[in-house]
This record gives sequence, structure tokens and C-alpha cells, in this order.
Amino acid sequence: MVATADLVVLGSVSNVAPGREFGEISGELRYRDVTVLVERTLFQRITPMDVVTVQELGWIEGTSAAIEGLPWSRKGDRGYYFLQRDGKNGFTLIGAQGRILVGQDGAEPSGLPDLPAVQRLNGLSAEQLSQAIDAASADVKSRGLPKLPKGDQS
Amino acid sequence: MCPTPGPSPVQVAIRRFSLAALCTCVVSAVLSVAPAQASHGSGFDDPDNAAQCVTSPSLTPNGVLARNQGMAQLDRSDITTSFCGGDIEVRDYLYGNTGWVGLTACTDHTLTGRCDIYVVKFNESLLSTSTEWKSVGCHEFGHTGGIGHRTHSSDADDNSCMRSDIDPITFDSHDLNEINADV
Repeated sequence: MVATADLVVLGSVSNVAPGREFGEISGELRYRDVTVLVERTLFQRITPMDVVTVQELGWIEGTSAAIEGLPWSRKGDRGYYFLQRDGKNGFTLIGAQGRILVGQDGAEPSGLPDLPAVQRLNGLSAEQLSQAIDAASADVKSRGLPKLPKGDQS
Repeated sequence: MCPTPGPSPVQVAIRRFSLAALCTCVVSAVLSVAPAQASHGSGFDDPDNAAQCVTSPSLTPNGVLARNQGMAQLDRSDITTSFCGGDIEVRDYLYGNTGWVGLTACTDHTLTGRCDIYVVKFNESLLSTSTEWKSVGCHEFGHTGGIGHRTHSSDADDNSCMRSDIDPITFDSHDLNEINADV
């Protein structure tokens, strides 16, 4: 996941509010803007920042909607966010697996629960998770792995 | 349009090529955790009937390719598709770097909990080859048939378009059986 991200941060959600509309017709899709206060930046291809706004899917044609395996963010959530730039509009998660919350029982990865990658992360302690992401970041940096160009992510 | 407050938002199935495989590769390289057993993909909202009307205003040629592939695959099952309104609404657009190449949601349920209206979206920003378009068309229309995602553990021969990490362009027999069991 680090390899596909522009920015990986540990942070907490301080606010959630309706975000911008996008799509072909008015009201087709609308984001929720999730404000994340950054505690630590683990990986970046861009200038680190103290606050990031993460756009998450909120509504489809007026109906509230959440990505399967990725419940809506809530104020107070704390965890790791694997982010990609969405043009000038801010950030989105790199996909349904792009968020790993840290709860009292350890890692709570987003994504469909039957995916092997999700199962491997589930329940890791906060310390194990932090070490794993740090190691992945170091690995990506050392290999100089180029990010897949936008529009060529197949 | 004002967004409705929603403690229980509808579930949206998305697809993004390669991400799952790439995540697996990177994560498994750094975690010393025993590989977990993957199981079947979850299901999706079942359609309310076996005659599904498809409407698709202003699709691009690639969007038409994807839609036609999806309809052709559904027609291999007990579901019959036709061009009319009311069941499956398809759009494609440059939605941006959203994290998904395709999306399916049920925006209207019947009283029995089945899906009356699906919306399907293809993200032009992240799709390029005709194979990708066909694959995502098959995949998203599979969700409108009530089936969920597959993983390698349940698709060892790698021939189901319901995978998110590879891009077959057809349903396999397991997908067809699942759809037929749902309608």
C-alpha cells in the first residue's frame, strides 16, 4: 500500500463534513470531507502537512453510501491513512484498504475481510503495525519504487 | 441536492485493479504473520427480478463496450437484460483519482430487501485498455446480479471477472450458479 501512496500518515479525525459534488450530473456523487490531524508522517512523496482533508464517498444521487469494507469515518477515529492526491482537490484513500484504524484491540484494517492482506493486518498490535508500516516505507524508499502513473493502474 | 444524513449508508462495491495484489506483495514482505485463509467473497444486494432494464445515457464508446460486456455476461445467467429504464443505470465519467475504477450501489430497495435500482459507474480517469473496460463491465454487472467479490482462494483458475486483482472479462460457472441462485 505504501508503494501506491503519495502520503502515509498516522492521525486522528477531528471533523467530518459534507464535501464537494462530482460527476457528470448535479448531485451524482458527493464526498464527505474528513479532517485528519497528523501525528506522524511515515511516508511522503509530497511536502508533509499537519492537517489533511481526506475525501471519502458520502452520497450517490442523494442516497448516503459507503464503500464496502470501508465504513464512514467518525470524529475521534485514529489510525493510518494511505493517501493519494486527487488533482487539486485534496486526497482520497488509495482504495478500500487504505485505512487502518488503531483500536483498543489493535489494528482494524479497512477492506473486505476475506482478503488475505486484510486478514494479515487484523489484530496486529499498535506497535507491530507501526513497525510494519515503517519497514514498508523504508523498503519502498530504498528500492526507489516508482509510483504507478495515474490512469495506468492496471 | 442536499445529502441525506445517514447512519446506515448503502453499501457500495468498488473495484480497483492491481491494488489488492500490490498490497499483498508489499505487506507480506514486511510482516511476519502467518498467511490467513481467504474465503468466498461476500454477496451483494440481490436483484428484485430476473428481467433487468438497463439505461445508460451518454456513455463513451468505452463505456458502451463495458456495458455491453456486462449485459452479455448477465444474459448467460437466468437474468435477461434489455434496453429500457428502471433497474440498472450506467454512467461513465472522468471521476478522478477516486481509488476505484468501477462502482455499484443499490439506491432503492424493495420492501423485501431486494434491489430495485442499481447505479453502476465506470471511472474513465483510471481505465485504459479495452480489456480493462470489459472486465470492469462484467464485474460491476455481476454485482447487479447479486454476487460479491472473489479471491484467488475461491477462483484458483483465475477466470472470474469478480476478482479485483486480475481482469478476466467473463463470469465463470461459479459466478453463474451464484447469480442463478439469487434470482
